[in-house]
Amino acid sequence: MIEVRNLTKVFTSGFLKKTRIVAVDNVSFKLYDKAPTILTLAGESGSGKTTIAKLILGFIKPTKGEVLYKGKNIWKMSNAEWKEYRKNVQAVFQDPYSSFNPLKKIDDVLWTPIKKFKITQSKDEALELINKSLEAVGLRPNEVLGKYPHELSGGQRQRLMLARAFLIKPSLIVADEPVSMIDASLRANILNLMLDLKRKLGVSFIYITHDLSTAHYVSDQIIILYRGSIMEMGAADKVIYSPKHPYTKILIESIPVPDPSRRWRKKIVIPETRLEQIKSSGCKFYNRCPVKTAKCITPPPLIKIEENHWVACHRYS
Amino acid sequence: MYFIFFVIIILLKVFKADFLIFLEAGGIKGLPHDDTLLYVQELKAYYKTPNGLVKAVDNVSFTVRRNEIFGIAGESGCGKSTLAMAILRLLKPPGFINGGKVLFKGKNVLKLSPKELREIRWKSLSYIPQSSMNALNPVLRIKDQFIDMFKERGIKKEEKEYEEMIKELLINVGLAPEVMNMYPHELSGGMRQRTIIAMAIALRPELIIADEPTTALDVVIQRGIIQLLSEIRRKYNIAIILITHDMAVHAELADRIGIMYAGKIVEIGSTYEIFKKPLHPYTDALINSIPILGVKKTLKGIKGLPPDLKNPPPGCRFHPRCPMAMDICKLQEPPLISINNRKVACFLYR
Repeated sequence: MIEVRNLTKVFTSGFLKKTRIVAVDNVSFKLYDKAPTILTLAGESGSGKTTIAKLILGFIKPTKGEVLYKGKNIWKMSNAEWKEYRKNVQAVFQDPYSSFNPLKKIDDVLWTPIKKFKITQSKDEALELINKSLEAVGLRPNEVLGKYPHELSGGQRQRLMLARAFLIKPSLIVADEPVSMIDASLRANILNLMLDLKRKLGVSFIYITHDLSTAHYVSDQIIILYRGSIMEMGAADKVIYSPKHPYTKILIESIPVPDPSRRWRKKIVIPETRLEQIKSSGCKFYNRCPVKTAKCITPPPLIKIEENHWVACHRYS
Repeated sequence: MYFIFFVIIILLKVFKADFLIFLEAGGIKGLPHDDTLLYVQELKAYYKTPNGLVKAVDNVSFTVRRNEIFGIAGESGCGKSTLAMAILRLLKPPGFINGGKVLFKGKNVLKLSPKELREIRWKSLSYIPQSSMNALNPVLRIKDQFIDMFKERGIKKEEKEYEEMIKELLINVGLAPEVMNMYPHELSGGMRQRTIIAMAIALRPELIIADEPTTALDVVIQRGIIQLLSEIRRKYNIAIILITHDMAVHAELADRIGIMYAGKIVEIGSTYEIFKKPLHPYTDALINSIPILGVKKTLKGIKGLPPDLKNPPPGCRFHPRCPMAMDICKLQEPPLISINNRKVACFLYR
């Protein structure tokens, strides 16, 4: 359904564009539409996961490479195709405060797509749908309708965006940290809602998160990103149960387990990188890698090591 | 911009015993251990709003022992940060304290004069805030922030001696000594958090209140900070009140946990017991709602939403969402009762 090919985004700033930051570096992956799939883009801050989301949604233009929807480059679509794309691919953001018009009541957020995409036949039907979608994400309609965005909490705004996506019933939802501001007890409900949407309505997701525990819970496919490049990619169980890349291994080892009988026994020390210009000729993880070799100063290719499992590390070449 | 003195508060180290309060503290029935460092008793911290009082912390009692990590868990809006602010006396209007005591080594923090409070800040009770960026002065080098703190506490030394002290502190929290010549914006989030921790332990406090110390950090960095907190506790014999919504962090660090729901403590127990056999239905639901990496189980959320604290439900505040709710739960508020070494506020255990 969605294919990302050699996607690269470079942000420049300063006089004569001297400061270059490579946010996304030659990323390629596919999301098939044979069966609804939840694909996770996982990574820490600065890994480029949000930039990839924006590129897929067409908010920013790639420096190189392309985003294909059903084989068509989204930047070369006709108006009608683009409108279709915007209906079928919906977005849910981290803190959706900036996506609300602060002067309009939040009802507007729900009514606009209903009118624009002509989702319902009558006003009553629309009202019913609105109530249903609000309840589906754990919001009380009488508590949120008629309010302004600033009157809601961050978590409520996030759920409102999910409610909006729910009522449009798109074929793909790009969800950027949709549960990061939501408490555990409600988060479980939202994750289950995502699974429900996938199973019952056939909605696919690109789920963007820093949290591998929730990623493993919902996703079929996981892509591990580090500083704009794919480190490892494959079926969720393969990546989580038998991680191959040293970075994935450290990432998984660093996740605290909610079980006091499984506390960490050994101390691991991972050097932190400072906020300085990073020269990225070789492997991105070179500075912090515990098992680096001389080979690693050249960029590693993405190697297929088994069915549906790829890793970008010289140890496997 | 002015220096935001968020970082640390301190209480007394050597102090003429305030006899009355001392008697009161010792005389309270059931004061559990003589290694009690902090005893919070029926603390109430409210916010005044145009629509009524928000009872963010309502009748909260617990103790913290010397050298222990006491976790306070709960979801957003349950009052855990307000509790930290109230204990530290950093609660700002419209928040106010509406009763209760905070006995630190037998002395009521809430009754200290501003001068007494300032005199003891940094020395016995320090604070690691939620946002490390806001806690550091952006226009001062790290070194100067430490020196300001030392001077404020009356530690007058030569520049060289200060630098030696700072160097040692930075090394102890896993930072390079060169960090002292940098500005906060030159540091990564994890390094800033380490700097804050170095400041918090600089004057060897007995208790640190850490409010979501790892929340904004990436997991790999978070692991480093969790390890560091555990190390400084052992090395300096510090007790820590660890406030976080993240149960996994509690599982990793805390010795005992208090679970808060809607302004009340609903359960207190050892970390092991809380996870293995939660007593309160809320604790049980909370633990079942967290995914464990590598364990495929269906997560169960909690139906409904936490109550509006302006108008909490009568009886037990959890009853509208509780799968075990009985008639009595709607009418009466369950008291926090002791069962063996644990405490729980639920009528299931009468």
